[in-house]
Amino acid sequence: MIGRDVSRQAAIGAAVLALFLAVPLFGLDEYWIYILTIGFYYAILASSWSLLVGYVGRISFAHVAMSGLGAYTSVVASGTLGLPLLLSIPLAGLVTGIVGLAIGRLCLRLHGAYLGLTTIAFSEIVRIAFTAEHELTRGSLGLPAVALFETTDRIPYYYSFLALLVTCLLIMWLVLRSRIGLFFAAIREDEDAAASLGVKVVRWKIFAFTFSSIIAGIAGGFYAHFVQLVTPSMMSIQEMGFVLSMAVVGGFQNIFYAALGGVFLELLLEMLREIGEWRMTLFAVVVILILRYAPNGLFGEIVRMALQRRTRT
Amino acid sequence: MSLLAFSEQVINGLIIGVFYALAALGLSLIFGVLKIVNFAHGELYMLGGFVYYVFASLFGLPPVAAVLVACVALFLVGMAIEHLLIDPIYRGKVERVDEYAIMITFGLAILLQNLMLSIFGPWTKRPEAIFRGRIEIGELIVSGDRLAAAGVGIVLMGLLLYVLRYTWAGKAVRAVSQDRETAAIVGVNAKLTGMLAFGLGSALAGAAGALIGPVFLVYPTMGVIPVIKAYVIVVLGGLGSVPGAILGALILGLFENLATVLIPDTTRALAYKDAYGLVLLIVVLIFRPQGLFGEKVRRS
Amino acid sequence: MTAQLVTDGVVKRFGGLTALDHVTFEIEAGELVGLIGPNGSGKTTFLNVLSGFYRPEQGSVSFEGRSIVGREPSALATAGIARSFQVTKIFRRLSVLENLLVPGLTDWSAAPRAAAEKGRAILDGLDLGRLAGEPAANLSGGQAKLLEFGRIMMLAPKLVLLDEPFGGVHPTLKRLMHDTIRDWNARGTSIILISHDMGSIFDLCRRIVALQNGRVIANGPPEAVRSDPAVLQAYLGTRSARAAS
Ligand SMILES: Nc1ncnc2c1ncn2[C@@H]1O[C@H](COP(=O)(O)OP(=O)(O)OP(=O)(O)O)[C@@H](O)[C@H]1O
Ligand SMILES: [Mg+2]
Repeated sequence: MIGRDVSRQAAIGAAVLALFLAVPLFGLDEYWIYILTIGFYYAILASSWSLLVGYVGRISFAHVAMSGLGAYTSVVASGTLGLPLLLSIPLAGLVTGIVGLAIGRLCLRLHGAYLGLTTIAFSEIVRIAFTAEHELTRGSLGLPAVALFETTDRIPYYYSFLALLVTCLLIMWLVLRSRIGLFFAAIREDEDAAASLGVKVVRWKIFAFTFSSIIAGIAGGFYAHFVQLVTPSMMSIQEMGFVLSMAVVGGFQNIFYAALGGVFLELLLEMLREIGEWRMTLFAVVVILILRYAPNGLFGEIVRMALQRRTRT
Repeated sequence: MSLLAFSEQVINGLIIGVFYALAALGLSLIFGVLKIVNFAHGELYMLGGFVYYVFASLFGLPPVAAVLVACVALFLVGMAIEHLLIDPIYRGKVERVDEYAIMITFGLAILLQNLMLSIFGPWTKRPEAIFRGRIEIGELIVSGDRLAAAGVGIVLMGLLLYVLRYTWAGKAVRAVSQDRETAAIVGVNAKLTGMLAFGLGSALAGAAGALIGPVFLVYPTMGVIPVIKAYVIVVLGGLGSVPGAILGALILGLFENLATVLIPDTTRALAYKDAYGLVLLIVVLIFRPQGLFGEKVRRS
Repeated sequence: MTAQLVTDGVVKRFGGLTALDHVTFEIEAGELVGLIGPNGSGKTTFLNVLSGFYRPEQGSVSFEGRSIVGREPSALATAGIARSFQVTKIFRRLSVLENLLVPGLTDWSAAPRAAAEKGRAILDGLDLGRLAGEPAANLSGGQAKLLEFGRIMMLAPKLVLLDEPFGGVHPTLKRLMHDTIRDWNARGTSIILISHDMGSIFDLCRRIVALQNGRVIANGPPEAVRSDPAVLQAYLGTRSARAAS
């Protein structure tokens, strides 16, 4: 039974991927290609955040701070130190991985709201520091970044971000479907019981933090060279709220749904431009309603209903 | 540094500490009874600022009356929030309680911020102050609006402490804080007490926002930094402890104001002003999660 | 023959309260020892020390001749000490079978397929076979206790620590649990059994240790412990003893 569900989900996934691969071929406006590319960036953040929250049951408000840290790392490494992007972006992942490891290590015994508070504090400290250190970062003006490609064409960016998103999702999926995913779930359900059965709780919690931080850092590094500017606002609480909304609306208990939520909300944000700030108000209402009445998220519910109908007929 | 500058900073620190305490007290009260950290607390504070602005500046109500209106309005808003979003936790309607409580209040914060942004725009507003002019103690000059607002704040806090200690409602709040189930068995209505606590907590946040509005201006994101301060305070004082919150607030107010004068590189010191408390928060959470004064919590 | 697990002068305090007061204890490999004592006498605390959840302030704990103080619970589980919890701790949103796979896969050399097969066999033995695919949250209280047994079996431990396994369990199920415990023991697994159910304790154990206020007040065969004046005093006279102090 479970096997059939997996193959169906794989089929749905392949269809969605084919759709995104084909989109530029339909002659979509450059502008929308650009928006979709940003959507892919958010999809990576939303899904790697949901890995932590949905699977391991650890909340973090420092995820966009990690992405920002990765962005600054790569920009400084490529700009000031003159490293090629091929090195500076992995370096971004390395740095955020180390920071994630350190935070994961420090916050081992914290959970729930305490972890939320600690990570908010960390995130704000990083943002404040990057705003304050003018000589290095030019404060809130931000730092210009080298472009990823020497062309103004949007298409290469589109496909490289799509490739990055698919790679990240694939790696996360491989980890989650291995026994590590089961250990994550055990830790989420009951840490003491997991430990009593031989699950190395400490190791896997740190691993999860490190892993999701690396993904966020690499995504941030890529993103910086796409928009060609990094500012501390990339690490604001508001930005974190946006990523959280995406994961929740899509479905934070599944990395794929969270990723779809990222693309979906970014598109919606652009489509609803006329209503201005009411957009975020609307999103927030939807987030609250979903948390309260459909915790599987929009895509979780859609897929659930589709599968149910299939099994009934 | 001269003695004058020093005592000025001390007084400013204490005044700021009062506002911090007002916001933090509400947070602590809510945590005590409902065992959740309200991540929308800063936005309730902001809402208080806006209600005050609307009534004092647009409708021309006397400032003190407008503060009271803000308190009442936020009390009602808080009760409604508890009823709609928090109470389901206790009726077993929610699957992942911890994450739900954090995310739902965080979502509420996003909602309130953007709602106010949509209605009023991002521009700052300066509502009527309770009292203009300034007060001179020898050479020491304190601006009157701050002092008056702090005075009202102290009165409100006194009122709350009185209610908690001597009234039936206060006893219910304390009973539920200690043990929800036992309280329910001896006849305390836990549901109502929860609403009351959230309402009171919100009213306090609203009062803080209303009082500070004329000094630090009113705008949709005005709650972001102060609420983080409030977190620092409740963590310092031990989550759920009311006296701890007051003490924590005074410590933080003093600590920040003194740190800015004691660090030699002034521009840097100012740029990092909001970070001191956060470092304190992380250190306390990691090494003394029960707070500076709290007792160690039991492992379940 | 040296004992499998030895504690010497173990002290554990919670603030001003001394939950374990110089507890000296040992269990031979293959022994089945009952641990009794009034509420709050320190039984669960003792188990938490043995399984690595608490670190004692004083004293030593050694397993198979090596000190285990300060070792992680997960490491002790791998070393052969498995436990159940007084308040059942199952993974509610995992399936019943997945609950068994967690301990089954902590050994990296175990293949998932083999672990699943072993898990199914164990579930069948515990009468939970047809519930394998259900979310564990759907189990009844007694079935959840059985599931904890099943998870322990997956670890194939050398020493099993059971904290109040019969609480709120129907006699039929209790019999199944008794059989399981006897079966483990017959295969050479040593067991420490905490229970307030004196019938079960006297039925199963050949040695009983009694705790009161964190101190060992009796240690010996069932008949001796049953008639020990200190034990009688602890069980019958708690009220008068408290009134006197
Ligand atoms: N984490 C803790 N923090 C503070 N006190 C504790 C803690 N755990 C246990 N205690 C105290 O230690 C004493 C022993 O508790 P323990 O749970 O070991 O008793 P027990 O013998 O298992 O009782 P019962 O038969 O009721 O399960 C009790 O007084 C209890 O209140
Ligand atoms: Mg016990």
